[in-house]
Amino acid sequence: MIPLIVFKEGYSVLGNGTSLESWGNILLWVIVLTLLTYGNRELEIWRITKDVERYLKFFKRTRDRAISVVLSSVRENAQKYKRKLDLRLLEDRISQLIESVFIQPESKDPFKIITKLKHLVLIEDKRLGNEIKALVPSLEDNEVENLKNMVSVARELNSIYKMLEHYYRLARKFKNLWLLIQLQSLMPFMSEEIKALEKSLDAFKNGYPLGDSVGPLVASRFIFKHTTEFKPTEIVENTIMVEVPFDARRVYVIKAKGPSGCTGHLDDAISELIKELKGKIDLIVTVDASVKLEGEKTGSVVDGVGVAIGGLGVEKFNIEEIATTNNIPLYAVVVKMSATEALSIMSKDIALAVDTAVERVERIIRERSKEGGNIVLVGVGNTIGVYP
Amino acid sequence: MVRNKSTAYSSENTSSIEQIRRKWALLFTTIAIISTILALTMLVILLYEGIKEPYFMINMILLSLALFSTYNAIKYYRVKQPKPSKVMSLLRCYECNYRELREAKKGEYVYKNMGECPKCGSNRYYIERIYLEREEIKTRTS
Repeated sequence: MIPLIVFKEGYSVLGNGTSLESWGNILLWVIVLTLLTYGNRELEIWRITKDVERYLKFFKRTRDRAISVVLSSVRENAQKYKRKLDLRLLEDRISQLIESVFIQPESKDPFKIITKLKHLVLIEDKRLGNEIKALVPSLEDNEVENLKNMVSVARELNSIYKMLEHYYRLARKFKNLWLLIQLQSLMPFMSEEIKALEKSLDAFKNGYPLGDSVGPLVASRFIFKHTTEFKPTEIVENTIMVEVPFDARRVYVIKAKGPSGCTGHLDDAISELIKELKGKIDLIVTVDASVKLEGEKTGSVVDGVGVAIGGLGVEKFNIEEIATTNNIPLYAVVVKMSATEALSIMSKDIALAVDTAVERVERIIRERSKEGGNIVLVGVGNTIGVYP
Repeated sequence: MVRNKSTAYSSENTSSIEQIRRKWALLFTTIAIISTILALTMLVILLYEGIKEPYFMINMILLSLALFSTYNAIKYYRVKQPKPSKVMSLLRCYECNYRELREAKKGEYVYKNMGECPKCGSNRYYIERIYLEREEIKTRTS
């Protein structure tokens, strides 16, 4: 052991020093150890705080960039239609939109909660569209849809940043190491989500298909593969239906109306179609993107039973309800990808998986329905950059 | 022109990663060189003069610092830059199967009719795919 105070050469605390010197050394050691223990804790808090701050700075930068992308897109669109915009007013309106809240329905009594949720979602969708139209009235529908998507992304980024910053400030205020540790461990996952949302802005701005557009793309590929002449019918708002002949069967392909960035009202479209066909449907096949597990490969195609559809669960509930009431078998085809890939511009692996997914859909139709039957194929997801 | 727009984010990220990499690699290399020179000089003196405390301990600390900085410098030199990404459009004629792969332009979408096929003149000439090529999406799940 190295003595802290050397009185004479060869002296050590463990040696035969004078008692005063020994006590002095011991006291010094105790002080040093106490400082080290306390200092270590403080150092740990400082290190974690800096780490969390670093992530928060990145999130804030991303949020700000998203807002500026939204603003520049609105300005670009306004310029296209030769409309002058008051920049301050525009910023105010966009920031109000980004700060606006969506209050979920009360769930203490869950009776009819899906109906209430759907009602609120529809109101929210219309409100967002009307706000954007109020800014630039001459915008076309697909431009409004793309701007709506961009505002939604900026809103999501803003809410994530604000929530994380709130917990960070709380932890700093009460010097709570455990809250900081929890925040720090959460940050890499949030960072992935933020990066994914940021990448989706690029797609929405340019109108390119996302990873999530794989469902509508499979539906479109099926249409173009099996028919040369077709006329899409807008069966419900923002949702189209195309009748395609396939192996002596009639396949009714339903998807959101492209190439704008919308998801359509698939449940209403199926309900409408069932009414038209008086319930004579042999099976419903849904195609969607699905989040892959760690070991799974991007673009792998899997099929199964049920409704492949994400979101708040409104459409899934309604399709299941319709199918159960009419005794229609439900089959699903999913294309695996990571959450980041689902929100980024479609990757090559996913684009190549579309053909495999179409083949799987064809096989399901051939094997599980009889000739002369009516089949519904639903392409689920955001149809940005995918026609019809 | 359009490609530059579509890859704006990725090129921005690439340059910032490169800046950070250079900064830290330079810092650790400098620390590694200085601490190695000091540690070796001190070691030589100690070998000639005889090992004395606390100089030996200081020498050990300097050596550890040299090793730590060298390790970090190597780590930063090894960081690979993400490859630049391109958004590609695959055009296909549904009559003669003629295909053309080129960079996507703003406003293009899948199954946009691209007019007449340059090979057979059919009007069933569409954009069949639009996808992001050669981008390394670094996620914890992929």
